[in-house]
Amino acid sequence: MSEDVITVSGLAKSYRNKEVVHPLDLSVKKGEILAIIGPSGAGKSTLMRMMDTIEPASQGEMIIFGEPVTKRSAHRIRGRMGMLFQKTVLFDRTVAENVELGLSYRNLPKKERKERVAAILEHMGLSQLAERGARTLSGGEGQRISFARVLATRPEILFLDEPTANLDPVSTQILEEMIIRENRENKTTIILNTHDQAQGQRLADRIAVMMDGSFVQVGSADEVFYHPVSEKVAKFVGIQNIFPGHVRDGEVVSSQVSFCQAPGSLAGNGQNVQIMLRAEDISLSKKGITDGRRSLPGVVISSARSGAFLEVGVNAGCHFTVIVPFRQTGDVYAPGEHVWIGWRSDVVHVIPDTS
Amino acid sequence: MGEISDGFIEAVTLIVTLDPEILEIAGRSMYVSVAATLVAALIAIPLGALIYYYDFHGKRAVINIVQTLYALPTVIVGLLVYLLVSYSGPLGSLNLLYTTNAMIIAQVILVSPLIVGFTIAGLSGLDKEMKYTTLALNARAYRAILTLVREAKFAILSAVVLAFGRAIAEVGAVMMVGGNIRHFTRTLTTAITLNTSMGDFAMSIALGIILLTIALIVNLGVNVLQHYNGRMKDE
Repeated sequence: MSEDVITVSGLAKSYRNKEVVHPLDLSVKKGEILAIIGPSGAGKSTLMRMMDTIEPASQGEMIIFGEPVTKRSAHRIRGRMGMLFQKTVLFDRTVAENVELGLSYRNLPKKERKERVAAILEHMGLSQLAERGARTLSGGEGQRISFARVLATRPEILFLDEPTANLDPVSTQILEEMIIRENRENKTTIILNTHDQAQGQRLADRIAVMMDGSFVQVGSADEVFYHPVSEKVAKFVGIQNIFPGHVRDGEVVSSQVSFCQAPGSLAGNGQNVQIMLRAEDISLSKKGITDGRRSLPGVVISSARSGAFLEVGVNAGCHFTVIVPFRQTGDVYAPGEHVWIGWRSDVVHVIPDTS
Repeated sequence: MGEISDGFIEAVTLIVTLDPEILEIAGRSMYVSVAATLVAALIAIPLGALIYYYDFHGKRAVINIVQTLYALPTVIVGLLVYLLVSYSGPLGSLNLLYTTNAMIIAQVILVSPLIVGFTIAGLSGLDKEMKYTTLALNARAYRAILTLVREAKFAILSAVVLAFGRAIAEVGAVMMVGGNIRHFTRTLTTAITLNTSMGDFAMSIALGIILLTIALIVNLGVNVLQHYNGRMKDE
């Protein structure tokens, strides 16, 4: 982690007088993986195309590789960057010819082009596809070839716009491994758009949450996933237990349930707050919980398998959602059963209620 | 009825025996329309690609105008070119009036909008990401355009074939600027017009059969191209 390779200030985009990206600032360091996560339509792709200089910004400035981006400099700067799109784009040629495209646009000599294409396909384990027609590939193969085409140009900054959104889980995993490898081996700076918050967490050093055209939170994965700044972010990063509450006698309380001690900044009596608790951070037991956690008796109101996990709804004054590994519990929690739920007070995240 | 069936039999005889005048007329028609289509394609494909590629104010209006010109009346084109090449017109000194070159000019004007419009449509049918991909791979504009045109080749080629179909079937403009002069500017359509008005149905029917055959081949060509175009999109 050294100098900033991209600095964006006040960058915004409007289409027909409607601002789809509000003026925003961002710096990305060399070798960093930044994930921009957010719901579809948040403006992530537009932002990414502006940063890759393939779509002009309506306002704002960018400095990339220490050089201000202008109409004049854009082509040169873009030559050191690459972008992979959600939709796999392959031209009606062979795989090798597709991978060669960026190199021929750069007017590299034919011999060097062929060598680089062969090398990148070899490196990515795709040599056997070289002479296939690009349109005959499967979705996963196609996206890997698109990725190879970008990597062949040796980008220093790589923009990945929802690269795995159309892929099956296995292809997603393969591509994610390729992305990490590119970052580790070549110190390539990577900016990744994804609506898959878990993918952001898996790959990124830092996460920016984008909603309605603005960054609402930028921070480490832990900050974003455990300390979201708003209810909207909390919901997007998958926090299922969000309760309105208030501070009473130094305790954070909602519906007579006392969650934790009020944090110092929110200690004022009567302060309205929002209480957030990850479903995975709540333990569930048929007996009492006695290890010093906050615990409450409750009644099971719903129970559903979700993959290897069991999602249990419990009414314990508030309506809690609890997720436990299915096999570990071995128990079936049937609606109507009496149970105990508990949590460590440090896993409760409390923010002031601004609504 | 007898006149028509007699005409028909005589027409087939004329074709089968490779009547020299019929061959000459069909050859001239092919020459004029192929030349006009090629010239139009050379102008209109790049023009259509540029209109597609660049965003500019009034782009929608330009496309609307191009589409309106699909239905440009042939006699209007004929009048326009006549005024251009007539002895007192701006190109009068070139002595183009009543030559095949004047006919080619008229047909170029007639079919260019068709190729421009269908080139834009064919390129617009490509994935939006395709243009972004060429840009992101750092293509200069002309390289990006070449890649995209190559990708839309079947759609664009079928536009060219359609344009040829319109050119060879056209009668008004070539009649006006070519003059339908025997052995010089007579084409399939102008000959049919003349022979029918003179009552020489055999000749008209023979020429009509040739024209229809060409139209059928053109249609077949468009179908084949569109089949490939569709198949490319499915993959």
